[in-house]
Amino acid sequence: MGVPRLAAVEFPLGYLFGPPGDRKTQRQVLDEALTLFEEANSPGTVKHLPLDWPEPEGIVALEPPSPAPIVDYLLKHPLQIKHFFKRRVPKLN
Amino acid sequence: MEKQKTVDSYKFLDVLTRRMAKSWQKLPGEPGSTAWTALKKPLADSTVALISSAGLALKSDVPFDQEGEKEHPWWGDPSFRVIPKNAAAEEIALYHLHINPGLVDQDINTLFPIDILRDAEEKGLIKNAAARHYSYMGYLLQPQEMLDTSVREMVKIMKADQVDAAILVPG
Repeated sequence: MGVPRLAAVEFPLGYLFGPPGDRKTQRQVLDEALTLFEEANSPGTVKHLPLDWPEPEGIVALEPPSPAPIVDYLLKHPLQIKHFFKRRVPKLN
Repeated sequence: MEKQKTVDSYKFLDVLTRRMAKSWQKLPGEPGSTAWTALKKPLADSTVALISSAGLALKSDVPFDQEGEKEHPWWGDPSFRVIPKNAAAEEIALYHLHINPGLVDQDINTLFPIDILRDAEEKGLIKNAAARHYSYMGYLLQPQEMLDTSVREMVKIMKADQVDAAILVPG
């Protein structure tokens, strides 16, 4: 099972619509995603947007200020990583 | 001529996240075919909603449960929040513990194009940005509760708002 339509853009997570303040790129990405509703005519259609990440300077990092709880946990319990990769969630107490 | 490009979905992921993503993609998925509903009217006559998995909420609303995830790192909050169409960026906070909340302060439209969608409405590409947008917590190793509760409720609200299409934005 997949998604009905996918507009794929080669930008980092947190910046999928483009660099901060770059309204032109942000509008372009959103417009491409919107027009896919009319362009796609079968499930699973993928549209690859022809945009390269411009590597803007001075932008906020995607990573949070502290590691996510699961990252912290797995660093302390490395044997659990294999379960995480299989999404085998232990029973909660 | 527009250049052809095949997007590398893993380009900006670190080694561990890349391994995780590839491993999860190989897991057996839900049986059944890909959902599909054709748009029933021209895009220019359509109302469009945004759905973000970045754990966004109005600062005036109940935050997503960060303490629950800190206590149980394998758990994620299955609830959702409504973001009104005209909410200003400074009214919105990001509670996803795997993402820098500073992204919202910098420019929320990089991950939740709320202003850009209003631009699309103004220039007539769509009829309306939906009165209400949505956000949920993307960190859900076991998403069934979210699917059974939050998604059902989001669909009800979207029907009430006469939403024709929704864009799911990963965060």
